[in-house]
Formats: sequence, C-alpha cells, structure tokens
Amino acid sequence: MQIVEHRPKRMLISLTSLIDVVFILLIFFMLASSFMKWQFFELAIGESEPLVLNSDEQSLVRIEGEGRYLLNDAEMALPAIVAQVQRRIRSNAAHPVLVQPVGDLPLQQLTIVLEALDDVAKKNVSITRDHR
Amino acid sequence: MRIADTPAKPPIENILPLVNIVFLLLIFFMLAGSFNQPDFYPVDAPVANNKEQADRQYVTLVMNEKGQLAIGEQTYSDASLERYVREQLALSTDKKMNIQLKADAEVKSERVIDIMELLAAAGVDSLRLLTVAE
Repeated sequence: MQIVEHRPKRMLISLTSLIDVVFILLIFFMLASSFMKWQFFELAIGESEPLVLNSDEQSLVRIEGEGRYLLNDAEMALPAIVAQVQRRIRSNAAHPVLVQPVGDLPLQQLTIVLEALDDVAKKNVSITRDHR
Repeated sequence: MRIADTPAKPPIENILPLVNIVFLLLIFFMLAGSFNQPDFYPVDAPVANNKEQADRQYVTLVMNEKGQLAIGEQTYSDASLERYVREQLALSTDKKMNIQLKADAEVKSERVIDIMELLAAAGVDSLRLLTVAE
C-alpha cells in the first residue's frame, strides 16, 4: 500500500507583508476615524418674544452662574424650574420660555439648561440677552 | 568544525490568531468610525444628551473659545459673515439657509447671542446649536 505523503501547502502571498499592510491600515483607521455623536438644539432666531418681567404669561429662566437659576426672579433648583415650566406648558401649549444667560456665562452652562428644558419645552424655548 | 544549526522558523499557525484579531479590529474601525473634515479652529463642543442627530447637509459655522468664526477653511468677521449669509440667501431658491453652529463649550453665551442676532438680521430664521453626546 502506498501512503500519500502530506506536503505543506505553499502560501500564495507572504503572510508577513500582508500583516504589515493590515497593521498600517488598522493604525490609519484608528487615528482617522471619529466616534463623536453630534446632536443639536434647534433655536428659533427669526422673531423674538417681548420680555415681560414677573409675568405668568412667560417663563424667564435666568442663569446667574454655575448651578444658580432663577425662574421669573425666584431662585430655585433646575429640576423645580423644569417642573414649573412643564406645568405651565400643560395649561398653555404655546407658553413661551425665555432662557437668559447672565454675565460671562460659558455656553456649556446654557446648554445644561437647554438640555433640561428640551423634553418639556422643545418648541417654546428661545434665548434672550440680559438687558439689565 | 561544528556548524550551528539554523533555528527553525516558528510555525505560521502561531500568528494566525493575531492576524484574525487585527482583521476584526480593522473591519470594526472601517465600519463603525466616520471621517470628518477637521475644523479651522479646534473646538470642544458643549456636552448634552438630546435626541436629535446632527445633519451633515448643514453649513457648519465654527466658533472657537475666543468667539472667532470660520466656515470650512474661510475665517469671517461679524460683518463679512453677515455679507456671506445675505449672498447665500439671495442665491438660494427657497430663500433659506441651513446653518449649524459648532461653538466651543467655553465661549461666552453673549457671543453666541450676538451671532444669533446677526444671522436673524441677515434673514436666517433658525439655527442649530451642535452638542456632543456624553
């Protein structure tokens, strides 16, 4: 009986150079690709609501610094402001909500308030300048 | 004289799992990542979790922490930005311009309001403020 000898298969291409190229591609894609998830807040800028202070017809949210918020000049925590705004919007769907950053407030602080109000007052929120 | 044996080459099977993993990583980065054109000014956008995904079709206005403005590779002063927006609005058929603002998280909010007012004066009626998900 003749036993067929198993000979190792010949590689068609050199594995070393293939791995080199794959490593280079991997490093390129690792460095060049971005995994940032970009989102946005839609801000209506065409028309501005007239500012009426101390009124129940609109909610003026003043941001006086990190963690210091006033709703129609009454200082309260952000979740309480959101709850009040939500109650007002339930009774009047078109209830305007004005967000007013005070002084040199960084945009991140303004974004925190926009994010908090986003679920309850998406269409009603506009940003206003501090005229005081 | 005794000639030293040339060491045997390591078997190719030893590096195959490594090659497999490298291939998987390569496929992951190719499919999951996306390529973005680098901005003219480096910007750390504010962090927020809202549900709206940004659209690449919008004109991206970049504002760095000093409040300087750029669209693509072109920098703009306030006056030249207003002129550019007016020109683009005049050219567009529906008289609309979709702009998204990629502003640095540390820029003053007053500066953002300045740009909102400038765009409103030029005829833009809405603006998207870009944020990055946490």
